[in-house]
Amino acid sequence: MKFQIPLFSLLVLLVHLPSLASIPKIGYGSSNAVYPARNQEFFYMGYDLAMKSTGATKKASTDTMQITDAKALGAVRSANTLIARNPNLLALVGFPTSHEALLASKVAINKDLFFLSAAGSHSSLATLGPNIYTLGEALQSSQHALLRYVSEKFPEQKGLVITNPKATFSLNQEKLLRSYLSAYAKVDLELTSLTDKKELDKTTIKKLVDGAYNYIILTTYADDSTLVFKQLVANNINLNIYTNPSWIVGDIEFVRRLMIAYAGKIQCISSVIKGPESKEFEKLATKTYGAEPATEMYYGYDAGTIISQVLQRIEGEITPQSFKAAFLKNPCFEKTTSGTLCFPKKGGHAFRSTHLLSFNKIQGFVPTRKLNTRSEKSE
Amino acid sequence: MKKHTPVLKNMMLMQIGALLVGFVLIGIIFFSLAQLNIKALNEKNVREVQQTVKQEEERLRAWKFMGMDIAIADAINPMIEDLNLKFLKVVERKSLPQSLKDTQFFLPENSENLFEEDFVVFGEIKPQMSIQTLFFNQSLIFVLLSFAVLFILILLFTSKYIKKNIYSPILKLYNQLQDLAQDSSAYLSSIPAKGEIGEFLDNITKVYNESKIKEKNAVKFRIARQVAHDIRSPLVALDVATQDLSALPEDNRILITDAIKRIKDIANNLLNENKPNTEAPDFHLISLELDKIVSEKRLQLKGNSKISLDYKIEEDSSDAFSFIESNRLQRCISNVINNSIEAIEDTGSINITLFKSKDLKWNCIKIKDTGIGIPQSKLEQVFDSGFSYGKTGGHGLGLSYLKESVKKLNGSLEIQSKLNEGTEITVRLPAEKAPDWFAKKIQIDPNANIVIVDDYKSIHDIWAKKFEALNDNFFAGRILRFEKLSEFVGWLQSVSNKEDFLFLIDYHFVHERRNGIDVIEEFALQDNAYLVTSQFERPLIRNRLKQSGIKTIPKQLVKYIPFHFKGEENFSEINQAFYNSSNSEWLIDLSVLKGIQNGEDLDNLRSFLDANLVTGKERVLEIGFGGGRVLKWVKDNYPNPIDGIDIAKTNYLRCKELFKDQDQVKLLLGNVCSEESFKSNDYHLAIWAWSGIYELSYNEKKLAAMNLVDTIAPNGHIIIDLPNELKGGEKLSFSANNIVEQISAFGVVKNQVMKKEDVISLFNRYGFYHVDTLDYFTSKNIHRTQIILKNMKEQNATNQQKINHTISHC
Repeated sequence: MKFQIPLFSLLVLLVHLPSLASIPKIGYGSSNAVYPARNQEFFYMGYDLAMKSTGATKKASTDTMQITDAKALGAVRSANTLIARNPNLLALVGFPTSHEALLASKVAINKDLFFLSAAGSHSSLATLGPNIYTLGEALQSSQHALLRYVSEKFPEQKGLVITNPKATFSLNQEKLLRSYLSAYAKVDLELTSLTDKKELDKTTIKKLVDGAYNYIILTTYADDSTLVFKQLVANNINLNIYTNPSWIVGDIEFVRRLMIAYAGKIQCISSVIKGPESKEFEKLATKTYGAEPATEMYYGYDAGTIISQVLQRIEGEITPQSFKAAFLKNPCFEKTTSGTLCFPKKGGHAFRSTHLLSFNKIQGFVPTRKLNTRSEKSE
Repeated sequence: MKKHTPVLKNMMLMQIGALLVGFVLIGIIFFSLAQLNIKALNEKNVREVQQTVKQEEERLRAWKFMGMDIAIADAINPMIEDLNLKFLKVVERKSLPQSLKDTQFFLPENSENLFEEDFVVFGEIKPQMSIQTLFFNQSLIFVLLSFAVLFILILLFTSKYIKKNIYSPILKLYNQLQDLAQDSSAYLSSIPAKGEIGEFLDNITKVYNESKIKEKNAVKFRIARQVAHDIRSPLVALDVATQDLSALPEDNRILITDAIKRIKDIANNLLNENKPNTEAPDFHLISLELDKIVSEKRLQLKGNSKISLDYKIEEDSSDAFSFIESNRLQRCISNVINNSIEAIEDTGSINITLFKSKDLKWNCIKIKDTGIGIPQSKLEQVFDSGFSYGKTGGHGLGLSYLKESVKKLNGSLEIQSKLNEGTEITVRLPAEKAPDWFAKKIQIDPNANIVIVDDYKSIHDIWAKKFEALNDNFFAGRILRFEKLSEFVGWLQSVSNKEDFLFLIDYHFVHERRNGIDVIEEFALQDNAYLVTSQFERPLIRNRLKQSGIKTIPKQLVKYIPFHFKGEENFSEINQAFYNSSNSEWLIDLSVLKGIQNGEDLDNLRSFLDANLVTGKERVLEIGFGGGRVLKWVKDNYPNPIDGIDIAKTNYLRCKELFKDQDQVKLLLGNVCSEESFKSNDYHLAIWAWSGIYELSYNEKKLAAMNLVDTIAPNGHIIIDLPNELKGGEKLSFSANNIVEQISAFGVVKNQVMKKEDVISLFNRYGFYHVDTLDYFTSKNIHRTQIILKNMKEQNATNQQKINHTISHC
């Protein structure tokens, strides 16, 4: 008798091995090349919550590969690893920053896999074909909205654009601003790059002090902007600052103290994540994790929700092809934190509305006005 | 001819080869080290750059995967500038070059196969190792380069040094020896070179030339020996035959003897002249050596009236002794004189002077000619072997031999020459102290009689000339001559007062058993005898001279050895004291003479005499000019003191006329006269008056003195007036000085003051016999003395005849 229990257990394991081997896999990957691992975790928490709460895990399990060596190609390695160890991988999900999305999507294209970035906003993501999608708002839209807004608010006045030459997301904004600038005659922009220490150079500070500029456009991530804010506060600058969508998605705690100390307005042109449609998620997340969800979790949850709904749509064998077909059959998905979110069939960003948000120390960024963009109309 | 291996040339070529190899070697080392350094530095720089690029490498590759070429370019350009890169780009791994340069790199080195496209960051640094860096930043290179430069400089220097100091001089020697192979009679000429090479070449030249000379001399000596032998054989027969020539008249006998002797000398000379020089330096009398050469040269110049050869020994230089090789010196001086003879184109003179240097350390021989001279540019070369100027066929060995010889004798040479005026060569030889037995001077008592003993008439003649040369032939009538030693000994045995004679005796006498030294020793004549011989250099004679204390006079130098009168040496001190004295009582009031001179104040003068110049018996009037203060007065009034003498004479004559009626007045010219003299018209010369001519030259004084003697005292009474005692300056007066001046005027002694006895003795030499001494007192009651001398010239002549007669009958 003593030997009967192990033998039984072994028998059960052998019976279920084939079925375990054949379970479809969703690969979730990320790297902390440009975004901290802590915040990356928030994305995954949202994704996992959605997958589990919708019962999608019964149809497909998720293999995760979160690289935390801060290397630029971490996303590629993550994607390659996921593909390498999951021959029946259905899709690559996660890779929430533009940097990760651009790299991992390339791997997905090579392997003809479905790819969904949790929050990548890079404009190039809209050009990579019908397999590549992102929940991030289209930067094209927000940049048009920004230019249109400052054109009206600061006509003929000079604005300073601050970029981080080492950040893909920042460089993308700069590129878009340059390319769109000719369409906005009243906008006068001057570009400057952060130094290696992520500071403004002395010349720029002097010009700011001398009143050479009327507003500031900040294309950098919040965590790359700490020293810039410090310089602005130290020099008593009180110009309007317009940040980018990453300030809505990501963590601004690094810079909150300085933002409060800053005398001028801090605003952002971005989509609105938190709204009436996100209440149900917030309850679930709070119930599940015991705390109010971080912004990144909204995007992760939406990614998990979309993957779950695609899996639910598949009636036959779940394969990469059937997965892609199920997505394209109806690229709109309900019950996301923003309600129903739709994607263009040719691939690219989810359609989101653009708002002007203002920062206050109590509520953070609060939508103050909805902005219509030219791209939005064209879409 | 056998072709020699060009060793020296090869050595030079090897030097050049070493130089080239050194260049190449250093170049290779330098290049290799440079390359190693460049490679090492490049690798180091590549590693450093890689470290920096690696921090951005993944981002750049990521961007490449993303297609963000602009962002890549924006990121890379500052890096290229900051890291001083040639290029930096992101490329596919497969597009990398097959082999990378030292300066190139790519990252990552290993592929991850992230994509089908495998991107790498590929870059190249700019070469960091410039030549400048190599030179100044790499101490090793710098040190190496310094050594390389030093090495090359040393090689260049040594090449030049070897060429100058070894190659060229030896090549010259080689060429000369090649030439000598064609002309075996030629000599090697001096090759200028330094150090051991110089000495080596000098030695070779010297040895070669000397061997040549010896070779030639050996031939000459063989011939000379044969000739001398051939001459000597018949000479022996002649010599024997002349043993019995008494039948011949003396003149003829002497002629034959001299001729034979001359032939003997020629034969001996022939041998000596050509004898190989093996002589060692010895103690020689230079004056004598020169005399030999001069004699020979005079013989050589006999019949040539256009060239005069004069030999002079300066005062006190006849005792010039040096350590020399006689033959060598004679040959040297002979060569120089020959050169002088050849340098005189038509007429001219050659003067040879022997003198001592002021410090007496050197005996100097000066040979001066009035020949064509030597250009200044050639002067430095005249002592070089092989150099010859102004002579055809000259070997140029004469002066080089002289130089070498003088150097050997620790002497020195000096040459001065002016073109067309002549040449003067001075040879300086270290002087040695004359031996005790050598007579530097002939000590002679003025009162002595002279005895000359020599079997050669020519020597008697020489002595006669020498004594006659003394003023007024002082010893005339007091010279005895003997030609046979035996006769002299016979006479000497009868002489009791031998100390009153001076003996001059030859050493060797024909057919005599004894010689001069034997006789001097036998009769103990050492104190007043001299051995006069030409053989004094013979060791035997020298030893005897040393032992006996006899002094010798070389026969050849008789005419050069000066006389010294005994007592002369005392004069100097007294004389000096006299000059310092200003005590002149005699002339205290002689300023009145100025009036007399003009014919005035004669009454005053008479009164003066009456009052002051009283001796007790006589009154004395002085007329003349004195020394001391008077001398100044004379100088002030009479620019030419001889005029003063004339005035004295005039005044004397006028006074004589003035006082002719006053017998009691002694009229003095100067201060010496006597009444008797006036009466007999036998005037006395007042020597004192001559002090006015004190500063005249010797000849002028002599002329003035003779003038006075002739005009005032033609019959020769001279009265000397002087103080009784001359013991010091305090009692000296002008009178004493005047005596000296007077004596000086006669050329016997100069500037001397003597005692009364000495004065008397001295005047005896002039043929004056002491007649009387008169003492008197001056105005200051100072006791003075007049010495009255009588001119005894005629008497002396008579005496001499008597002596000669006596000798001829001994």
